[in-house]
Amino acid sequence: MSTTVEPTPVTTDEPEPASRLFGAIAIFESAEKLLSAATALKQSGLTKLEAHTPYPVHGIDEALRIAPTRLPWVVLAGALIGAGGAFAMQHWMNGIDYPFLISGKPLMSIPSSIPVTFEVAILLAAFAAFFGVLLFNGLPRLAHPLFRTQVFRRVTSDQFALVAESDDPRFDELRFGVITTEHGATSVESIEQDVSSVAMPTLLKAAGVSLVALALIPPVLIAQARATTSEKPRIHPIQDMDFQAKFKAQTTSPFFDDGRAMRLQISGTVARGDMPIDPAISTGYTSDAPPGPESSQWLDSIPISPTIELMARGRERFNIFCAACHGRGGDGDGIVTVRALELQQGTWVKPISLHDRSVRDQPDGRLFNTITNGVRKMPGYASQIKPEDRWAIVLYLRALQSSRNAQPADVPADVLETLRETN
Amino acid sequence: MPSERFHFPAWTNRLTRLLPIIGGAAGLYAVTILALGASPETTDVGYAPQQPVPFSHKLHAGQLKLDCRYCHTTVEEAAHAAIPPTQTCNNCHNPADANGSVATVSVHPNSEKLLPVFESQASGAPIKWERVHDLPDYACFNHSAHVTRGVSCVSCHGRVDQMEVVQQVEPLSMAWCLDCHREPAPHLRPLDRIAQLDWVPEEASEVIGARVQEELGLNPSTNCSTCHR
Amino acid sequence: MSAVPIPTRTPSESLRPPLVDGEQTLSSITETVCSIVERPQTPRAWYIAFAISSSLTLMLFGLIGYLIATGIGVWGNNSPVFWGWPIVNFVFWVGIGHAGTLISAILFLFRQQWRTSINRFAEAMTIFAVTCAGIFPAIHVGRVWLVYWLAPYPNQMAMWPNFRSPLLWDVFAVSTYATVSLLFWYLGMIPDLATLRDRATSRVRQFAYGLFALGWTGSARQWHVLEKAYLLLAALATPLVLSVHTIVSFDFAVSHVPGWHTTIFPPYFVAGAVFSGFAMVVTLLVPARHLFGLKDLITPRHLDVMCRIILATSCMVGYAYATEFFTAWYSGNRFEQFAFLNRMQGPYAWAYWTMVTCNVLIPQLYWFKRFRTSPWLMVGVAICVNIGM
Repeated sequence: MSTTVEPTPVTTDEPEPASRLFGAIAIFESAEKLLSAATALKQSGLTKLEAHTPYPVHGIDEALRIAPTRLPWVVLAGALIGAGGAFAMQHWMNGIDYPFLISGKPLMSIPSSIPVTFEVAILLAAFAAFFGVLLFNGLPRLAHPLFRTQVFRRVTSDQFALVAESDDPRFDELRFGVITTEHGATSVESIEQDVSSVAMPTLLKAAGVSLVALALIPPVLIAQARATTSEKPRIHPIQDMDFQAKFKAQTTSPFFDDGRAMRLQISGTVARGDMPIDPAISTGYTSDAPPGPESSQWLDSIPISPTIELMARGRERFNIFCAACHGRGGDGDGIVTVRALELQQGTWVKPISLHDRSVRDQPDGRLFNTITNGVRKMPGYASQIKPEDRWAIVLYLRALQSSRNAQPADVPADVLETLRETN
Repeated sequence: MPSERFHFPAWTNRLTRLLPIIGGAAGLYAVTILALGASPETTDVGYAPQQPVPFSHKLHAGQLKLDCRYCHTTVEEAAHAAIPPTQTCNNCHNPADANGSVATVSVHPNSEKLLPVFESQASGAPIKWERVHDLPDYACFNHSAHVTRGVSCVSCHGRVDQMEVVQQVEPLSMAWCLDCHREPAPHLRPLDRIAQLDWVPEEASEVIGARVQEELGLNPSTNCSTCHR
Repeated sequence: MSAVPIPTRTPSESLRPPLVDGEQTLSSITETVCSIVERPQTPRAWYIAFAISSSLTLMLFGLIGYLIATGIGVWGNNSPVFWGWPIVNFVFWVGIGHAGTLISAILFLFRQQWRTSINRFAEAMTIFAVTCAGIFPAIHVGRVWLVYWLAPYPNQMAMWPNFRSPLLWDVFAVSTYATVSLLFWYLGMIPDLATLRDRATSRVRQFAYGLFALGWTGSARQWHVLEKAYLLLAALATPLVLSVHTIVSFDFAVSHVPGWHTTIFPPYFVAGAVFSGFAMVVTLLVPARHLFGLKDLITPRHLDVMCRIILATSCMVGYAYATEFFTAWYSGNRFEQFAFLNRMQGPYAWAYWTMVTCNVLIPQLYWFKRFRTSPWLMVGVAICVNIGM
């Protein structure tokens, strides 16, 4: 505490442990006295001289030789960055990254981008101005030695102060006191700077360290969530219309007893796209019920046009549905069969080779019926393969059989010629 | 000096000088955590619900090389890729009766793991499979539109043939859909390779994809109403 | 207390009524203003007023909760009136906010010294008005929790906002306006907070004011930078305030709705905003100067000047009303004509005539000196304007 009105000579080499000299403050009752004192002190060669006033005093900049601030350039830079950034952003987002035509408006248009460009320019300029003030003024600086002097408290209300800092090489507290008193200072005193509380409190440091440690938890959780699988439902904080009150395919519904949202087909009805075709095409025989093995009521040939596309389709379907057990070549050595036999499953039967004469001699309609309803221990595939595809499989099967059992007479003469030449 | 008066200690100046750095770091941290934490890669990918039957795609689609379409039969014609009915399981898995005989060929006719399948077969009540890949209800996705246009199962579902338990591997987000809709070529393949999950393209996938795109005349739309209708 | 003359009186001003009444010094003005916040005990009237207003605010929150839970249909929003009630409220509040910026920025640039008595007051009103305004665009989207979709941020939908829509311009305009108003208000307030900090007697106040004053010392260099920044912010806020209501008017004018699709909207909206804002300032200021004993600082001259501005803008708004009808008639567009005739004679005729009476006819009373000098008559007219807008 140093509230002496008289200027006190200061011994600079032995400061108190808790504080050291910051400078000296002189209080004035009017701006005019402040100005004349400031001018005089500046002429005396003091460089670290500052005036503190309750309102901006006209002429103080000249007296203290304060250079015009560069703030306007910072603000201009903010405005230019804002305008350029906003303009580029709009054109990139709406014109380049996701070009999207709305109501026939042009994708990139200068007039429609003016408002946002302007607003962002103003916004960044205003930020530049505000943060420029803080930067150029060294704010926030909550602990200033001035705040610890009693006399300073009136300076933000109605008094005026001149402050000279002690680290100025020309600083001389006695001389400062003399000059300011000459120009009408009502009080002059020295300012002590508190150096006892410079070190950050351990508690604060500990809090900072623990905050950083806590901050590591979310990244770890995220990394864990990304690296592992989870049985728990997906995290959807905002569900909104993700799950709508409607029933989709193969979902449940509380409305029906069996809990199915999809209804089973009612007998005697026809589903869309399932218009009855010729019964012979959908069954492979002309009688009302499957005839005996040797019956003449089996269709002898495929009742739909055997095109090369149908052949390709048949091959594809054969490989999807039949090859698993029958093998791609039809030898009865499909991977599933091999595996089942490896496991010594007594309930598995190795399928007969499709090249066997008993199969080759069957009429097309009977093969079709076998695919549809199964035979012996083979299940039927009616629910998995559509009738057209079953006929396609029959067609492909015939080709497969021919590949091992064809006679020269089965091949057209010109093709036979080519084959003979190549082999 | 009256001791009651509050003064900010001198270290607050050091703290306020650090504020821009602290604020910047905190902002960067928050943005990063939010971006990473809220991304579908974190919230959605890796979802692998427990199924009522421990069905292994790794065994059936991988080892036994069953084609995807053997079970998911509707995928080429319908919007919905059907979960197979119990009947499809019965093609290979029939329960043995008291005498140990089966109606049709059967593997593991006495398996305990297959009990829910056998029960379902007996009662006619469907097995309640857990849905793994689920788009929001406002997104209209059609399997047939993609599968018949050169988009393989693997593009969205990953290597299911290597999964013991099926899990979601792609984010299934709108941006992810758009990636392909905007530039489909690298994701397309010949139609006869659609369900071949382990297919390795002979040439650069862009070249093959571009050829498929050309042949099929593909020009995927990015309009809102393509998926939201 | 030292007797320092007030530096705000210049020779040219001496012919007009003074800006402050009574024998004032720097310290007496500081004393008058600061004593309001430094009262040792909060008056009971304040608690009553606070209880009333916070109850109403709670009711607002409750109703917003109801709205969000139920959907924006509770406003009667439906096709083709997609946001009738919310946009009316939004425009009303934004308009009111404009007076604050106008007083603090435009009058600052024009070196109107009478603004200094009321600018902080008006700026605070701006911020509260813009806050009120901001509620409506936010809650009108229905699903408030997705309101951040309005911002252009990279997202998992790979979507960007549509920058060709005036509604998005509005988002940018209003958020910029709110931010700049806040910065302007706070920047100007830093030295005042420092004054309060140094006068404060309790440790809590010393801490709080000290924190918000950011360590302001009133040094010449600080003042130098602050003044420059304030001037620049005023220069930025002036076109901003004009642009904001222009863009708000685009929400209507760019649409193809008969009665809205007109080019007169931007100036008409800006004039209307200044008009309603000044009316609100008068409405609030007259009771405030009475209650807080600020009659010496906010003098009849201030009120008189504001009444003149209200009168002038009222005439502009009246002119705009007339021009709309002229445009509709002159365009020969039957739909346009119907929209205006329906406004005058249709189911909302009562609202239309209330508006014309309150906004155009009643403010004409300000031609009479008596209405510009008697505070309570003045407030009566201003309240009519508030209703009319």
